[in-house]
Formats: sequence, structure tokens, C-alpha cells
Amino acid sequence: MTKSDSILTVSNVTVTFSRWGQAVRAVRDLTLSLPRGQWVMLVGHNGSGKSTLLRAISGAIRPETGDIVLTGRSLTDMSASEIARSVFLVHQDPLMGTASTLTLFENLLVADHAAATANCSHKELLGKYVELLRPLGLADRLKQLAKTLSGGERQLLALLIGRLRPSPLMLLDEPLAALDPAKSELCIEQIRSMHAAGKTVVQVTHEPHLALRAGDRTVVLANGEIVYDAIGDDRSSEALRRFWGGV
Amino acid sequence: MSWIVPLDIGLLMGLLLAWAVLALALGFRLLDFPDLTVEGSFPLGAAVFAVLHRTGVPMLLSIPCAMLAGGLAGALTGFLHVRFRLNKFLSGIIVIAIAYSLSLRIMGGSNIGLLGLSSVFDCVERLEESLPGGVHLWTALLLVGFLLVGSTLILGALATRTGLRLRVAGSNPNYARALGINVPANLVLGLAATNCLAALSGVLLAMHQGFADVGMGQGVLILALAAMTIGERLLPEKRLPFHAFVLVAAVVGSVAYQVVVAYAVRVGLAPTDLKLATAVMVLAVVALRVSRDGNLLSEVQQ
Repeated sequence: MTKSDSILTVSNVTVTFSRWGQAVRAVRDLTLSLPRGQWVMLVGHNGSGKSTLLRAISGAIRPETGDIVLTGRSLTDMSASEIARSVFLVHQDPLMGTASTLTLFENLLVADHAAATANCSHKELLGKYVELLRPLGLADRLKQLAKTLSGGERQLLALLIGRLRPSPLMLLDEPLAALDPAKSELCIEQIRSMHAAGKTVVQVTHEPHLALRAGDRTVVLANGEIVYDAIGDDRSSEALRRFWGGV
Repeated sequence: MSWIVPLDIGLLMGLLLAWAVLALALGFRLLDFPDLTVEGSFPLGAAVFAVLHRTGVPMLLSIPCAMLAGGLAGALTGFLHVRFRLNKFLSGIIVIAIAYSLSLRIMGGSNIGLLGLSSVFDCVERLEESLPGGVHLWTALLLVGFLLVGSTLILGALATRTGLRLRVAGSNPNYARALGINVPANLVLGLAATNCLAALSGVLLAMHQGFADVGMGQGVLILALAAMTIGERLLPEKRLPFHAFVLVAAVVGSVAYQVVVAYAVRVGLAPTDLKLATAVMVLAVVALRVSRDGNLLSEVQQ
């Protein structure tokens, strides 16, 4: 894979942070490259460094050493708004990904980069958002505040917001955690739509069947290092069990 | 007619101070910033207006200048918080102290008289002379007009993309950053805007009472908090968009609080007990709402 093919290149990245005064090395000398349009399932035990890696890629925390290149540019050379146009992080906590005191319409509008540039009318936007919300069963709640939604519904809204962002790279930190099966299925549908629209997806999961069957590639982290990395049919439940134990 | 006098006084004071309540409520609810600066920008606005107007600057130019001074005080609070990571309360307290000294220096003394100078209330003065009992009906109507125009402009501004970004920055800073919104800049901008309103309130009160005083901000914070709390408990939240609810609740609360205070004083409440009565009133309204809704947990969570 050439550098121009890859949307994300993580080179020898180490991330250390302080917890109760003690230095914790969450990611150790990690190197990873992602081609455009790939859907990567990122798995590992709690504390293996998955969330820290996603936060470093999204620019929320700065690596101690190494470099992260996003869409051909080093993160350190990009402004906050440039990073926001390149990568979008959906948190595990649904409350983190929406503004509770804004209506669903306003939450979608403020994130909708295409609407901001195309100068759409209010009526056009209303129609567009109703269509987007219909499969999620939220079409009739467009004027309600986000805080009136359940946790699962807010996670669906957060994923929909991700679809509206111009960022080609989506980081999903356990988006299905604490969702019921029906909401999980809707979330997976949202992620498939995102992927089908050409976005590169990195999804953290603790679901063994998803880790093995969903997406194009599976990466296992342990103690901040990649211990397993396989693509497509090369992924095996036996290997995953050996490195992760989740299957 | 004696029963109507407290209503008249309360209504008038409530409408005059509604802008200060709005300033506190918008900062508190939309920016998630309990902004104490209001107590400093309120007299600062009055001081700047009084000095400029006395030195011959036209009233319509003095008012925006006074609002700008209040806005700068708010921006300074925001700057201290985002630049030096000062606690929100401490940032406000520091700016209150600065604004107090600044107001004294600007006025060259503790107060300035405005009698004989033009005022926005001049146009209704003659109309009110014909009313019995010195009722300020036309002044109240004028103030309601100001509030309607101002509220419409504020709601319009909050519905724009800039307003939406400001509200996202206040509602969920993490989410705002993910959208590429500059949270510190929006906070500074928001506090500047809300403190313009507090300064306007100071200007209107100074114009109405005929003087600006350096101590006129004392107690504004407490009454604004009380009015905001009362307004939010009196209005049904679900009927309005959140930002409209905050705005209407601030105005309704301001008027309701001042009317109740005026009647309390009328029936013999000693002015020394006013703050205790305010605290009891706020607690009573909150308790009534909680018992009515039967949802103590949600109140505690809020």
C-alpha cells in the first residue's frame, strides 16, 4: 500500500497519561496504516489502549512520541477545524455525541457540512432530515430536544450526525455498548451506510461475532501494542481466541 | 388604588431588571457558565452611560457605548477562564472587583445625577401625567416593547448558524470540539453578549431613577438568580424551544419576583429581611414544583 492510498498512518506512536499521579503508558510504539474505505474492527481487553488510540487519532490527546498522518498531513500541522473535517469520533457514552439542549433538527443542522455550503432552504433541510431519521423511527421527533431521547436513540443520532460530517474517517468507540438488540441492529445499519458512502471506519467492539464477521479487517490490541492484524477471510476465530480470548 | 401601587412598582422594576436576569439566565443555561460578572457590568454600563451622556454625547450613542463596556467586562471574564483556566466563579469575582473600581474612576465619584438630561422615557412622561395615582402604565408598555424587540433579536440570533454553534459550545463542549467549533472563542463571545444586556439593564435603571450609582449593582446577582429560578418553575418547559424557554422564563421570573417583593414590602416586610424572604420564596417555588411534578430525582439531577 502506498502512502497516497492510506487515509491514516500511525507511526511509532506512544501515548502516556497520568492517572492518580502515576504515568500510564496506554499505547506503546504502535504503527498502523489504513487504506481509504476500509472498515476496521478494533478489539482488545479493557485497558488495552483502544480508546486512547482513537482519542490520539482524533487529536483529543497528543502522543508522547511518533506521528499520526491523516489524509496526507501530520496531525501536528493541522488546525482544530481541519482535524474536525478529517476525522469524527463517536463516543461510547451517547450523551457525549449530541447537544442535549438542542432539538434533533438543530443537532443535525449544526453538523451538516453539506447544508452549510449548499445554502439549502429550511423546507429542504426538514425533508432531508425526516428521510434520514425515518429508518431510525425518529422522524416525528425532529423538533424535540435531544435530551428527551433514550440513550440508544441518542447513539443513533450521534451516528447519523457522523454521516453528515465531511470527515472521511469515522472512529466509533464501542457504539453498541449498552444498546438493546434492535437498537444495535439499527446502529450496525448506520455504520454500513457510512461505509457504503465511502467513509473509512474504525470500530471498537467487544462483540466476538462482530469482530470476526463485520468489517474488512480485525486488529487486536494488548497492552498498547498490536498483537493480531488480519484482513477478510484471513481472520480466524482460533487466532482471535488466542490473542483476545473473546471468541 | 393603594393595592395597585406595589403592582405598578413591581412591574416596572421587573421590566427594568429583566435584561440583567436575561444576562444571567442566558449565560447560566445556554453557556453553562454561572456568570457573576452581571453584578459588575450592570453598574459599569450605568456609569459609562451617565458620564458620556452628561458630557454631551447623544443618548442613542451613549447606550451602545455603555453596552460595549459591559460586553468587554463579560469578555474579560471569559478570557480569564479560558486563558488562565481560572474557576468560573473566581473569574467573575475578579471582574466584579475590576468593574467596581473602574466605575468609580469613570464617574469620578460614587454617583452622577442624570436629571434634566434626555431619556428614553421622555416620550411617555406626558402621557402618564394624565393617568390617576401616578401609575407608570406607558413606561411599562414601553419597556415591554423594548423586551419584545430585544427578545426577537436574541431568538433570531440564537437560531442562526453562529447562534447554534454558540449553543452547542455551551451545551456539550466535547461535541462542539468534534464539530470543529472553537469553544473558548464562543464562550468569550457569549459572555460578552450577555453582559451587554446586563449593562443595558443598568442604563435603563439609571435613566429611570435619574442617577447612576456605583453601588447599584449590589444584590442584582441574587435577585437575578431568584427571578430566573422562579420563572423556570412557573413556566411549562416542554411548550417552548429550550432557548426560548430560558428567555421567556427570565422575563416572567423578573416581573413575578419584583411584584411579590413589592407586595411583601407593602404588607410590612422590613427591608432588612428582604434577602431572607427572597431565599424562602425561591425554596418555596422549587418545593411546590417538585411536589406537584412528584419528580424529586429529576430536580436533583438538574
